[in-house]
Amino acid sequence: MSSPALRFDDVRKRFGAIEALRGLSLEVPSGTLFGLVGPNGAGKTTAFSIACGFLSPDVGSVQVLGHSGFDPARLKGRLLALPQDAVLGRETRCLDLLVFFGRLQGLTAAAARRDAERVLEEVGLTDRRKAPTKTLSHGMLRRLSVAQALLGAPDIVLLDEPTSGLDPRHAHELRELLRRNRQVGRTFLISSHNLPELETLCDHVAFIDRGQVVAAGAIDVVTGKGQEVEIDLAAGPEPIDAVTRALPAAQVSWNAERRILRITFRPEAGNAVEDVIGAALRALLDGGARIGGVRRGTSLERKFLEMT
Amino acid sequence: MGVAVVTDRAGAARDVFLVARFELGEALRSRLLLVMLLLFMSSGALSAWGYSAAVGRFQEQSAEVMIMTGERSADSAMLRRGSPSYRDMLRAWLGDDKKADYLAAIPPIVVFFAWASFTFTPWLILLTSAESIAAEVATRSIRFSALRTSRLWLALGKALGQAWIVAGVTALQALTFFLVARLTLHGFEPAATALGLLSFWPRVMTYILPFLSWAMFASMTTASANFARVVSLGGALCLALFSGIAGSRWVRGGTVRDTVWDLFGYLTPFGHSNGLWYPVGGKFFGDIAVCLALTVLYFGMGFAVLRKRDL
Repeated sequence: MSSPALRFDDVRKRFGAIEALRGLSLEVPSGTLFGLVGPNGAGKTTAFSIACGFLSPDVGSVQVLGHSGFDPARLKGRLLALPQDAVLGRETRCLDLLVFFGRLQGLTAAAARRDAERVLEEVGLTDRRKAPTKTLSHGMLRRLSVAQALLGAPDIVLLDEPTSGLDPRHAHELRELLRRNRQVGRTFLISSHNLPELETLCDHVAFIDRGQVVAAGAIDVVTGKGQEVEIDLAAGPEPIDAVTRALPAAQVSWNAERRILRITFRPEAGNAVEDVIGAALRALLDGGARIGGVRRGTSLERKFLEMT
Repeated sequence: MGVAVVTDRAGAARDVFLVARFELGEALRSRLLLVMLLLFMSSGALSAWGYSAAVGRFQEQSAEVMIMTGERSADSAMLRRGSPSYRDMLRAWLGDDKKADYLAAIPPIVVFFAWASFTFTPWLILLTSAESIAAEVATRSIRFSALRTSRLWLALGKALGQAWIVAGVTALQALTFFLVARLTLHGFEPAATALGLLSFWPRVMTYILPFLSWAMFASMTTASANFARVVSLGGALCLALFSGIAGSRWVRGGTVRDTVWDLFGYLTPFGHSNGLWYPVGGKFFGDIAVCLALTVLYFGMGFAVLRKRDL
């Protein structure tokens, strides 16, 4: 098994009276699109900043690409990030700014220019390449900030709220861009409050609350996609007992107010999620129930609300 | 997806140079800096013109004396070569005959350039360079660069960029003085003036370096441009006061006491322009050494904070 791209070991960080991280431990496997979810003030940005070396942990350690802590001289261009609320240079033209960043992370002048043009095209800012950054709109600045994080060939990219302030089209294009980047084996750690977005984009997720990880792992496991089924019932009969009899090894719970039937089971041979859905639907339809919808697992949003 | 992976890792010097060049470019694009430069240059030009007018009047008075003593006319060159009153004035001002004779042998506008530069340019630097890093910490812009190079190379690059700006400002100021003298002084000596300005320019730069370093110290230890300016200017004022006290008669008396105050005096750049006026002897090289040592000291103190601080 390859070493994790990023690893936090019992990291603590305090800002005056506020303890932002209280023993954060987390592993981000290499080559994954990893979502970091948490309420405001949970410690996501602090964790990002410590990984990038902007902040030093009070206690604990961080490993970046197998190295202790992030040293930009040693890991030049291998870790890039979109820091939250960081302002890009105001007077400089977009292309010049990206060429400067590219050169600073080790690219030759020609390669930096080529790559700056590439990332500008990828975020749809080619037509603004000669514009000073101060003339860009909020959304454009966000895209430019994302662009700088994709310069060169970083092994790991940390994106703090990458689609914040983007219109739906550009948010969609950015998600597609991240998916394409992942195919080259790059690791992405993405912090976002847009949980449906993370659910469609990421393959791993961690919930952070009050400076600690409360759940982490493959997104299918965390959301129970392989071991949990939810069925919405429309108004009408509620043959819940029939489902319980049909699936004796499963745990069946009925939320009468929201009319959601949740079936939790241990996936085994002959008891895969498809088999469970089939058996449950047969029992419900035989009992005269009207099916409103079927979902595998819980949505990331609901899981998040349950756990934090 | 074509990803450029062509790297060019020539190391620290390359990063310092890249940051310095970007710093210079950003400063040139900033209207604020240009406005301040224009103000500085125009005030320099005005004062040079005023000085030239004063020298002109002095020339006229000297001419009357010289014509009476057989000279046909008096001009700037004659003034410095032949006017005993000009030399006497310098001797009285400097309290050092050798230094006065040296200065009397160079065009008066060069002397004025050196005086104006030694006196005022440090304050301009303290004001404008202080925000270099602090403003980026305030807006967190520094994070984009800090991901790509070490804090030391980043800080050194910023300092080098500011040094280039200072070098440009003082060179432009020298040019302004040259042009003003050319337009206003009788018997203007272009070669002697140019040589004199060229000779003083590196000395002025040497004297300014510790001030630049102090401004960088303020920038590395604060998190807002305004606070950095307060620390830069306020701290420099304190250093000036300290230098004045260290050199005053009130605190002196006895060899040990004097030595202690002399040692304190070495902690501030103020007062170390004296040796730079006259490029001969131990005082000249001593003051150069003090200026360079203070440059390293202030920068090192600032970097000790920047190295550990949260960005």
